Amino acid sequence: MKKIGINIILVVVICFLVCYPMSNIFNNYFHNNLDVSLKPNWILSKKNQHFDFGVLGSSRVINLVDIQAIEQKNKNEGINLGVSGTGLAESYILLSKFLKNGNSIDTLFLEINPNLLNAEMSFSLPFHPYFYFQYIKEDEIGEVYKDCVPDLKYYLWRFVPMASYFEYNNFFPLAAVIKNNKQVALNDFDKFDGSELMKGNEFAGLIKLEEKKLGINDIDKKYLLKIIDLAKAKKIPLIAYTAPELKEIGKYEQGRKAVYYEIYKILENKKIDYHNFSSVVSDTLYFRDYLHLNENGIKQFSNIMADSLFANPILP
Amino acid sequence: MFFNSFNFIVFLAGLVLSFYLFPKTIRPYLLLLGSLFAYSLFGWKNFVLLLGVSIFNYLTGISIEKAKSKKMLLTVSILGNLLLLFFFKYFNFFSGSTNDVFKFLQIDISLPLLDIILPIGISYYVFQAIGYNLDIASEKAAAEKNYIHLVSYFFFFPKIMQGPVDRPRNLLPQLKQGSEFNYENFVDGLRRILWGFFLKLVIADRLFVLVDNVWKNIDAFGGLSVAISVSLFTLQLYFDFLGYTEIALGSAQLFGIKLMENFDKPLSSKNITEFWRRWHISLSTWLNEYLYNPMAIGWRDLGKYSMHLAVFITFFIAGIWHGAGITFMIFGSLHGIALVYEIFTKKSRKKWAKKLPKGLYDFLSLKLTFIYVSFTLIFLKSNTLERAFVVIKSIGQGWKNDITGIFNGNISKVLFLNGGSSNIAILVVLLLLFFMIETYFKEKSYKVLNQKNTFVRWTIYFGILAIIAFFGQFHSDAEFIYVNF
Repeated sequence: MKKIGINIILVVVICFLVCYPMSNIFNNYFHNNLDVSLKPNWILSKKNQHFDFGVLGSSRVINLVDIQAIEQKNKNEGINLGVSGTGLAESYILLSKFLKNGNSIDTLFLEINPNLLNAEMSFSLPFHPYFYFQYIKEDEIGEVYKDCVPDLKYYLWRFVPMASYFEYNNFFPLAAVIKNNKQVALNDFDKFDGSELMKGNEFAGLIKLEEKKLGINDIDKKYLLKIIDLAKAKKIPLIAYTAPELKEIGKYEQGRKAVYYEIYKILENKKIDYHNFSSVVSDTLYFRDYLHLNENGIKQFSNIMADSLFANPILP
Repeated sequence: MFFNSFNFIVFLAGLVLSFYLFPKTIRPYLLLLGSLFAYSLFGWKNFVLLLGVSIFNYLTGISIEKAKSKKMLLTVSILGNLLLLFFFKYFNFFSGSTNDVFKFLQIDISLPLLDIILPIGISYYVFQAIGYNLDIASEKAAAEKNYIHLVSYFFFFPKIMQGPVDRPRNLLPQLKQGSEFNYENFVDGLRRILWGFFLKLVIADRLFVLVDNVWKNIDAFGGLSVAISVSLFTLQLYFDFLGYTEIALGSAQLFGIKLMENFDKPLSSKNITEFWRRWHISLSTWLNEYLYNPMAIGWRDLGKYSMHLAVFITFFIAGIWHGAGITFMIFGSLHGIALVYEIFTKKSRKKWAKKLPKGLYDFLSLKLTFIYVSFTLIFLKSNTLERAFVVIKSIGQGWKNDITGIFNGNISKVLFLNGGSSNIAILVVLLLLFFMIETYFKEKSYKVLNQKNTFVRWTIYFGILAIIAFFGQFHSDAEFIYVNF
């Protein structure tokens, strides 16, 4: 027993001695060489830029909000801060880091819908931990990790050197560090101001979905409030809105209306201007699936967004 | 809790530590508690069902032992276990097929299709339960009088999900005696676990990416690529199952328990008979002991073909043990046919072996066996017969385009199945290394970790750890394949 104990301690010590300096090398490399072909990294790479407006949310932002169409119509400059499949906690990190990096926005639009307040039920991975490992030691980001991943995982990633890089070795390949590749990955986000719009006009059909019962998840609500507070603290006017959806989604998601009611209440309490566009487009001709517009739908919705949101008197 | 999860490592470390901290008499109960906890994580329905199975078999075991005429009770116990397996695994297939027949005959009857989820490990524990009762009836083993020990056998966590289909007469005595700590045994167990993780996380799950690229979008690939993916699936299945088995056997060894070996270099088999002696040994020997032998002995008066029929039936059942569906029946039948063919052609093959140079004959036998096994696995992997035929048809198409594609710089798609050059390079190196190790270490491949020179041994440990850390697939969609059977 004693011998095996000594051997195990020896292995742990050797691993620590090797992994500790290695984790510094990895941190340094991946901090300075973000793969900007991935949307969160593209947002994190932005530094000291000014935008007239920014739109924050999930796939209903990155895939549905045509920033350039809005820019052309309103003669201003915007950025799409949406990331596919993310919940409000991750949106909060992105917004917070984006502002900390010296960027500024005159007006922030936040897409909000019942699925965002039930992120774990609605997305396969509502928080993508591997994008933010280099910030895990910061209190604010650490708190998001604690809220969104199991405690054991948080402590492992936070305190065991290299554990996070090993677990997500596909995102942090050893070869990249050895080659010290400084090449910036090609991406279309620069070209389209962060949008990655849906292509084509086909509709997937009113397919049967797994039935769910929606409510208000405390963690999602916490980060909705934190986004609101952050915008207030930075004196950025915040406008919340809901993108179009097919009403048939309600058949499979019980309690959707009640969640909407809760959203109104939260936003009203916080005195946030809210526009519900959920039913402004209702024909399946404009949809790709229940929650996403197709190419024609995006054109239609971009016009509506540009006309109504930017007509808001609080905008500069 | 699956073996390739972080939680499993934490659980195993905690259980091992507490196991050896407590006195020997307490250890069997600690192991039982650990096993109950691990299985309970699959949900209370799974848990209650297995508890029910253990109660049923505890009672039948004791009753069979006491009874003067054992046949009736044995039949009841076997039927009871099979009925359970039939209900959970085959009922919907039976209903669906019967409804199809009724529809064809224009009979207006429809059997219900039930919303059933296959309980974790049911195929394994039902076979173990049947073996337990058969052993008692044939007086190969005594019925277990202490219910707790029998529960411990059924729930034993290293083997619950996908075997080995260990015999109670081997495992029960070991579970009853809380073992003493043995350094060599313990370290050997750790080595097996390390080797198992390497096989699963690095090799099998990287192969999965390539195979999946083709099978998800088979129309986009030509015959050569599909043929490569079919061959790679054979390797994936082997490494996946071998990896699991090494972790299972290694984990059991940490508690001083020796489970049955399941593999003996099956890919070096030169015919299908040999393949089944080397592949999933715990299942093939179970089938041999409890199915083939009784049939062959019982039917020996029925003529010279009775043995062939027994072989075919045994492998047909082996096929449907893997799952409910026509594809599984075909998988089993193809192996049954091959084995019967090998019995018939034993003499003529010997003549061929003498005519051809030994090296050439062995090489051809090896390749033909591999190709045949890979072909049969198309049926094991395909959910439907239509799908299997699509794959087979795809193998026969587009070779010309594939070959010209190789010369036109499309190697990454045609030969490497869009797997990425670094992934391919890692895999090629590791596969070559593995097969060299397997050829060199005649006994077991994991023995590569058991070097006499301390420096070499520790270098290999850290080397394997580093390979797992940098190249393991920790978030792969690839689950352990045999869990689904």
